[in-house]
Amino acid sequence: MRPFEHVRCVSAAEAVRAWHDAGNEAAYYAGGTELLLLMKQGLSRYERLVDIKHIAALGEIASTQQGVVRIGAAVTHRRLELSPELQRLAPLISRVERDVANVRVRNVGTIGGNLCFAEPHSDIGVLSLLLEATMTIQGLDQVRRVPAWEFFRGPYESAVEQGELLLHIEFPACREGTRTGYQRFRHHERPSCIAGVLLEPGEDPGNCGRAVVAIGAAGYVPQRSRSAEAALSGRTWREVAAGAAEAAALTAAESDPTEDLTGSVEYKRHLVEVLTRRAVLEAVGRMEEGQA
Amino acid sequence: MHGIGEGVPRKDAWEKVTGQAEYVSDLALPGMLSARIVRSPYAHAWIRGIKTDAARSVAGVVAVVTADDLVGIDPFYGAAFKDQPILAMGRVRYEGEPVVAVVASDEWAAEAGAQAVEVDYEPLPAVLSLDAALAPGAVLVHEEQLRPAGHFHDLSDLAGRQGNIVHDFHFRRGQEPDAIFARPGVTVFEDTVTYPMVHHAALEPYACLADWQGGELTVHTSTQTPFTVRQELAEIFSLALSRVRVVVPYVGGAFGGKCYTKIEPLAVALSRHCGAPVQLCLSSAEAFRTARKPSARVRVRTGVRSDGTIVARHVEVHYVLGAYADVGPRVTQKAGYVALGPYRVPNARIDAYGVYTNTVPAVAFRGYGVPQLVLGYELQTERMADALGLDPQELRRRNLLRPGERYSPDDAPVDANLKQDLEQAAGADWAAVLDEPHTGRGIAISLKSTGAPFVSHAVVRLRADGSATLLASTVEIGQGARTVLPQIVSTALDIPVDQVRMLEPDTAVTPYDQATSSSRSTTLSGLACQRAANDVKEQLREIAGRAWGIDPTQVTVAAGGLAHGERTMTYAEAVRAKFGMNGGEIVGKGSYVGEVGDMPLKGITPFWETGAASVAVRVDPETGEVTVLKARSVADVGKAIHPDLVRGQDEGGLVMGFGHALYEEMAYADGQLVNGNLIDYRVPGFGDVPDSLETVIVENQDGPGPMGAKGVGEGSTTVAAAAIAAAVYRATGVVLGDLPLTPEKIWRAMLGVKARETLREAVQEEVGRIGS
Ligand SMILES: Cc1cc2nc3c(=O)[nH]c(=O)nc-3n(C[C@H](O)[C@H](O)[C@H](O)COP(=O)(O)OP(=O)(O)OC[C@H]3O[C@@H](n4cnc5c(N)ncnc54)[C@H](O)[C@@H]3O)c2cc1C
Repeated sequence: MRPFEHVRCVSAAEAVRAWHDAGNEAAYYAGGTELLLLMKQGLSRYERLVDIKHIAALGEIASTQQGVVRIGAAVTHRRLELSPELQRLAPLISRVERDVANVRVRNVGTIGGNLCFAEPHSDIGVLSLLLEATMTIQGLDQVRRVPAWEFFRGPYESAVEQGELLLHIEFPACREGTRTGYQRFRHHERPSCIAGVLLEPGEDPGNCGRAVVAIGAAGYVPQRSRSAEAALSGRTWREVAAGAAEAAALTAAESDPTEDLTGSVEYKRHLVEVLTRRAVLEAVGRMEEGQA
Repeated sequence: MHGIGEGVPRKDAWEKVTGQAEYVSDLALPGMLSARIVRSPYAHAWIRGIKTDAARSVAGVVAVVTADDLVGIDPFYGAAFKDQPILAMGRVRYEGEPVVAVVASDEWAAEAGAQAVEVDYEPLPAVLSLDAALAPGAVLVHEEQLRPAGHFHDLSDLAGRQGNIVHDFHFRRGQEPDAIFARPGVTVFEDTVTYPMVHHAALEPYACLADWQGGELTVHTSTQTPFTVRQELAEIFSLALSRVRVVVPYVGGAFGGKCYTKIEPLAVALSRHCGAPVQLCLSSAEAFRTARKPSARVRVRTGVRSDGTIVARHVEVHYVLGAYADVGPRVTQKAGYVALGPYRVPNARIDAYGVYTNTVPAVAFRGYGVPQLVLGYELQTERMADALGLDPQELRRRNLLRPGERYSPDDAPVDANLKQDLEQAAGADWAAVLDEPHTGRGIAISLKSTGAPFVSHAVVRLRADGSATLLASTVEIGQGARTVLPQIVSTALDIPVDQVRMLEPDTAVTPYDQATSSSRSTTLSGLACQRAANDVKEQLREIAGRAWGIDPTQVTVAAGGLAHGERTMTYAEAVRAKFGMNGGEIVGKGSYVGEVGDMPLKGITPFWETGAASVAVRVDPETGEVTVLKARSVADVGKAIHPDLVRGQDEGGLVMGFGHALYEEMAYADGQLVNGNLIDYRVPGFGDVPDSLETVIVENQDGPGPMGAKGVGEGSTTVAAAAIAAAVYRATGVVLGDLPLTPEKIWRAMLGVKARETLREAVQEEVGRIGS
């Protein structure tokens, strides 16, 4: 790898300034699991790396009284996996994190790096859609908030503009009794298909009031399946289980897979269907077992 | 004390774990320059022009070297044919072929220089697949007359090119299989399988440091064959062998990919051009563009009687060797020769071909062409058994060669108990997992000729204090040679193993050894080491005999000393007795030289390496994903001198084969290698290793090596993919021999079966309706 300058910052404002001072020649450097690979392969070149790992605010996991969980962009996968607080507040995140990458990547790779890199095979992308997260982004002279559904613009392209710094991600509280299912299919290093399902009880706890179905890795960006959500919402739990296959078929029809080394469009659409069905049934099953 | 059968700590473990072990890329010489290669972006093209001015003006760049600069030397190399130019000359034959080299004060300057080189190409039609290469009127990858390299006596009948076929090998026995196939009572099975292009993925990519000093050349390189490298460098640069010194520090994995000359001629040419030491270290992406395993298509036709006795077999195999032959012709014939498998086949015909295409050159790879064949014949064994209503193990037992039986009349008798190996492989009780739905067990068994690297020499120097230095040129490639060979010497001399130090291979110092390959080192280099130690022992006996006035044969050697009756003498005392001073040393020499002659491979195999493994898999009926649940492999090694190292070799070889069976394939699109890096190319990781992975060591002391040892390290690789394919067949009913067995392929094949089943049901319904 070519030599570069390493600038360590302790505040977000300082980091943004350090980035702009270097013109377009800088990159934010968190865990480096993506960035350093690109640099080693000679695909990207930066004169300056702005190290954001030591910015205290970016390393926090906090919760508000409204139950919103706020995760700093520089929090590592490993902390998300092991944090007792998160296991209590947002158990799905910890559960999914166990299978993300491998322990070496989880030890240094961050949630913010994952989102900003916008690699299509991301678990975090699907999680943020499924849990309806909001991202907070700081530029030179403004801080803005972007909902997850507007965050992913394309492969390797997010709402974070050049020089902007992702500060944190907020996950709203889930309604009591919410159940989730999460299925991922991995044959290569990263998953080639992911389906997540969230079922929120309605006014009548015997019903599913609202369903969220999010898929990813099969196409360029994570996606929600509005048709499957509509099909599952307002049904009794038994109907949800019975309708899993139908919801899965709707999701597959709505999906937009892309062919790559992990499979053809046809196969990936098939995977979307299989995994969505399994995720719906997993969520219903967890409810029967009484665990989120 | 010697740890025979128990093991001693690996000599290299501490250094490697603490990062102290030195590899070529860790070395530096005063005034050393770094080099970077500009590679072809086309699979096949004319080079119309190269602009180097901009590169030359990059700060730090010392030289920009093209084929035109390679003057005064023979700029071609190759283990079988000298068909590979050091830098492309006028024409490139695969994507990634070296075209220009930039030498600079450091690697970043070299990199910047390389990016500033402009090459003008005129793309040509390329042959990328086997079928394209064999098609009538196909574009020829090589049109020139091929020059045999003359390195192997067993490649003495290299005929050269016919179309894109660079070499062929044929073997006949008994009557023509086709005649037997036509006989009544003979059922014929035909299977065609394909083995993908895969890469060795050694963690250390190719690296070489060349230091040209007038007529003296020193090369530090990551190779399995220092002496072949020396030979080729001497030929290219017209130097006496004694002027070429090849030194091999630790090698970070090789797997056959570092056999024979690779980047050394280029590094040397650059050093010669610049008059300074030049280090050339490739990235792993470049390693993908340097060497791979021969991909293959294997067609097996077998005639059996209803009781399962094989009466005839015809195997046709095409190895796809890529743009340059390297050692591919030798793989073609050495593997082709054992294409009949470990079975008694009275009427046989083998046709093996090595074929050029515009892809990365194919070279030696753990298993040396045999895994490709085993996939064909063992998948067929399972299918055959089902069709005949026989237990596959029974079918195998009926046909397996017995100990002492000959594969071929003029070759060595089989020195393994294949039935025992099979029983051990099949013996695990996996009923609990196999009772689950969508699971299956697959078994495969193989036989591999160890073939021709026939020569090893060793020298043992017994020092005046009774400790010993071992000089042998076996390369430590991770297999544990620097642990096991000293064990053999320490056993022969009966001194503690830590009293034996083994040097790194250095062609100026350590004696000739043909290759660290073919699972041969413990057995054959081991024999040379043992003989050298025995030679020392004989000399010590003579010293004691003379001192005590008795016949040397009456002197016994034990516990690191000499004795006769009450009289004893330590080794140190013996050395002192001989030289009359506290100095001098006893030098012992030992050799292993194989038997050569006019047999199919021009030599008798020193031993047969066998493979036998059994795996249990689960296949997701919806996604086609395969999970390996259990694996058991049999290492029939004669004698396990270091059981942990045997297990390490066996397990590593097996999991490597799982990678080929399930995940790995160098993917090409429009002639470009699209996953040629360790990010996109998927090798097995620890997460892919089954929870239960077991090596059964069979020790019948039936090998020719020290203490009855035979080689290990390739056997499990030869059977791994076949066992997986067989298990997938058992789990799904789908016969799929087109590796890798990706989930998508299995899914599609299962869909096909389902479609056929649905069709069959529909037809039956229809028939039923009509009938009523
Ligand atoms: C082998 C391997 C397997 C993997 N498997 C999975 C998997 O199964 N599931 C999954 O979801 N992911 C997987 N990943 C991706 C992994 O999660 C990411 O690599 C990691 O989270 C990225 O974080 P980082 O801190 O290392 O990012 P870095 O490499 O430091 O940065 C990545 C990019 O984001 C920018 N950036 C980083 N932080 C910020 C910020 N706060 N604001 C603005 N820009 C920023 C950087 O400039 C850079 O362009 C895998 C990665 C590897 C290498």
